[in-house]
Amino acid sequence: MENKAIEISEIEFGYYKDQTIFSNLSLDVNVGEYVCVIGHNGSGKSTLAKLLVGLNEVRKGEIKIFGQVLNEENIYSLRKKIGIVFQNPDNQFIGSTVRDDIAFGLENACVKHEDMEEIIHEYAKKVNMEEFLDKEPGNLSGGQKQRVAIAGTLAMNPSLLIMDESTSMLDPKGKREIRELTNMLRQENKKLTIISITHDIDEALQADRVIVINQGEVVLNDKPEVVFKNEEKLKEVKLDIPFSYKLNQVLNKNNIKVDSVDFEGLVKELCQ
Amino acid sequence: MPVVFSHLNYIYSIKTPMEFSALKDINLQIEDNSFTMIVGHTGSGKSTLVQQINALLIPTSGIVDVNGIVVDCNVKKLKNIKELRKGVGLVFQFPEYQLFEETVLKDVSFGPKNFGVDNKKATELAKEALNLVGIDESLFDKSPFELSGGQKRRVAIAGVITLKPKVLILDEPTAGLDPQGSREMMKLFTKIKEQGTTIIMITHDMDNVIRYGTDVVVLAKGELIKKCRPYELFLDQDSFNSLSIDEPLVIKMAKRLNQNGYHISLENVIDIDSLVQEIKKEKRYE
Repeated sequence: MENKAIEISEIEFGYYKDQTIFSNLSLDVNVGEYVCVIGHNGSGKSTLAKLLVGLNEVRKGEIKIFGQVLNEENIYSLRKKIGIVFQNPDNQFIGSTVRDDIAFGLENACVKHEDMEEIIHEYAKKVNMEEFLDKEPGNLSGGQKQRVAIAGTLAMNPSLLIMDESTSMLDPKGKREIRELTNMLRQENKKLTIISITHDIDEALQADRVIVINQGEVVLNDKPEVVFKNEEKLKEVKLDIPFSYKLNQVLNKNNIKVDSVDFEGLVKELCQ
Repeated sequence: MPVVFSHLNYIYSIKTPMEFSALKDINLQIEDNSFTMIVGHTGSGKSTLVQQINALLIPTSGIVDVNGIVVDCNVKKLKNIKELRKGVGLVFQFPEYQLFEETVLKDVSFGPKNFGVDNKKATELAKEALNLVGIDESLFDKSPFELSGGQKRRVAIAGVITLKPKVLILDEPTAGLDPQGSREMMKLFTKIKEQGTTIIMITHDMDNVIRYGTDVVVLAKGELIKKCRPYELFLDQDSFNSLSIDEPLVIKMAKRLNQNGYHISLENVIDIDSLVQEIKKEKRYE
């Protein structure tokens, strides 16, 4: 049993000759881990996602997925283990109905028609879209479309789920729906590895680990409660910290001494 | 300049089986030089509403009056439409998708040229607008498609403000930007407002609503539910719950503290710093 889902060692990459996005990047993700990757626009986050699914090739170094070095020969077999959900809900709706959309991947994988119907129902139910199976994408909200995209991905039974800013175009309700879904998936399948590239600090708070990337380098890599206490570093790479962490800091700067970094804890301390 | 809607209805695909009533009897005045936020669910009519302001959509009945230029259903070919659109700039969602020219400067000067401004003057106006949105001169001759996401959006916005519109409409201008990019974008709009422009912005971000908004308009299912000062939206728990509007955390915190004996005035809470200033006013910290 392999216990690393991803091992990236000393990779170098750029899209064209004179460009270097990663000069020497290394990081690991364990099986069953939920990791959020944060960084400002242009920090290299999405490039990382593309490298992980083999859409682009590294110049130097190697990427191992479940113990296998990613190369041209095994890319197709490895991709079967990887699901990816992109940013724009409108760009990834393929079918003319929710049912067709979830079926798309299954059809490509030559799943028998009899089995397909059952699988579609199972995953539509999981993302709470069962009653929308015959609806057209135009009649769905952004959050609903993303849930369908996730269902289509999950129907392929991936071991690694990559979410590339999957919530950044959604309204707060849509964001919450996807956060809740992610949590549910983790509870159900402890072996599912999730990498979420995100701007949503509230999501990052729920992760097992937060990796902060800036200019192609890992600048912080730790539990959320450790990462978000490092205000200086985060400020340096132009990132925000969650509300309760920030309130804690501003209060202390104003000589109102508090220790808590969570909402309820702060209420309690301020009301003593 | 003020924008006044009166008894405005808008129906999509009227007299067809697809008929859909998107706006119902809207009566609303958007004040001159205000920063008015438009909020509401997906499908509540926000985009339909703002498209009436520059006559991209013509009301099915009722009128919209933009500084004396009246648009109503009887208008077949609007005489002053050019005049109206010169005064009202509209930035769609993800405006970077609309970039098309070979260079940044050409793209931004397209607008004024289209309105009949000569080349030299158009370039001048474009440079001025690019300067205002913070695009460096070194990028002027680059292809807009080589720029980063945030830069592309700035260029697209520059294209809309070249003619110095009196009303600037923005449809979720910060969606998809990182926190820093989003803050810089909001600062830019504040700057444009300070030059006398009325800003009308569709948004889902309630933190921005209380921080930058002077007024907020709430729509639900095509109806105007409320127009008020941003903080007033959160005074009545039931009403904003039913609209499924997210309460900003600073407001939520202020309310929790008030329940426990604080006397914070919600009107003064627009961000974390102002919340802490309010907390400091409490007797216990004197």
